[in-house]
Amino acid sequence: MKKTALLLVLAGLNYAAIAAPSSFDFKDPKTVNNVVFRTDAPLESINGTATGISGTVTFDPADPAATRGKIVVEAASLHVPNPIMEKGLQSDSWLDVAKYPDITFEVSGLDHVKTDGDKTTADVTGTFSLHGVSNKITVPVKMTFLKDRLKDRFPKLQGDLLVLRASFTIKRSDYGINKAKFEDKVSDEIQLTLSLAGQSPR
Amino acid sequence: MRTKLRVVAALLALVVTAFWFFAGANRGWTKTSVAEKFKDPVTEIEVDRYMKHFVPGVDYLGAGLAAAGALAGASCFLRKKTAQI
Repeated sequence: MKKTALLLVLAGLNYAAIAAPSSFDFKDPKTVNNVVFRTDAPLESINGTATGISGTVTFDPADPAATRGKIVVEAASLHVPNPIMEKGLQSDSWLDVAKYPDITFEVSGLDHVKTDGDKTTADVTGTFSLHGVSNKITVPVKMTFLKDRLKDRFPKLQGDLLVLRASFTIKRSDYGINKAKFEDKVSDEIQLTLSLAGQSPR
Repeated sequence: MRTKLRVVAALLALVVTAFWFFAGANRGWTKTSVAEKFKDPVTEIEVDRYMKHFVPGVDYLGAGLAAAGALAGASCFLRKKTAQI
């Protein structure tokens, strides 16, 4: 009887260890993590990439709906190929990166969660903060849990990887960026595409 | 002097246009870097890695042609040299 009880306790502890949510760090030493932004303009669309990514997300493959966390993008890491355009984009006339250095997305909940193997899709609701303004938005996100694959990126480390992919559109006017101005030169809509990998070492 | 200015203007317009054309005839803005795609083999995430490379755009072409036009325009204000008898 005692032996059975002890076995049950040990089994329970083992299950808890497997099912526990892991914390994934999205600061990427390989600078592969990126956010691509695209907005239409008369001459050509403005395309840029930001690689200054950081943040933490807790994810449990047994309970993906409980995913929570925050992704931070360093606004000054936004790069476009034209240096004058980049300077203008980061200036106080547009993003004002000196005053608002971070663009963040903080997860508050998930809906319509579907898991198929190592892939999970969900509608993620959270607070998106840009240019000092925060709005609650819901975006479709695809999460891929790569168990024990951390060593493939960093041979000296054991652990898991979590890949997040999302694509959504925001309006710059919703974030106080030249609201109702220059819409004949720069579209109000900005498409964002996130490709991020977080690591959880054991 | 008048003729020299016009010749310089014409050469400038020719050089600027030729450089723009042979550098790819970019009809967008001038770029000082171009993106090269890199794919992480483990996560399969693609990222644009920017390499320094000057690509003249329509702003470069416009500025060059405007400068040539200004030189040609300035030449109109110079008196034509008449032969002294």
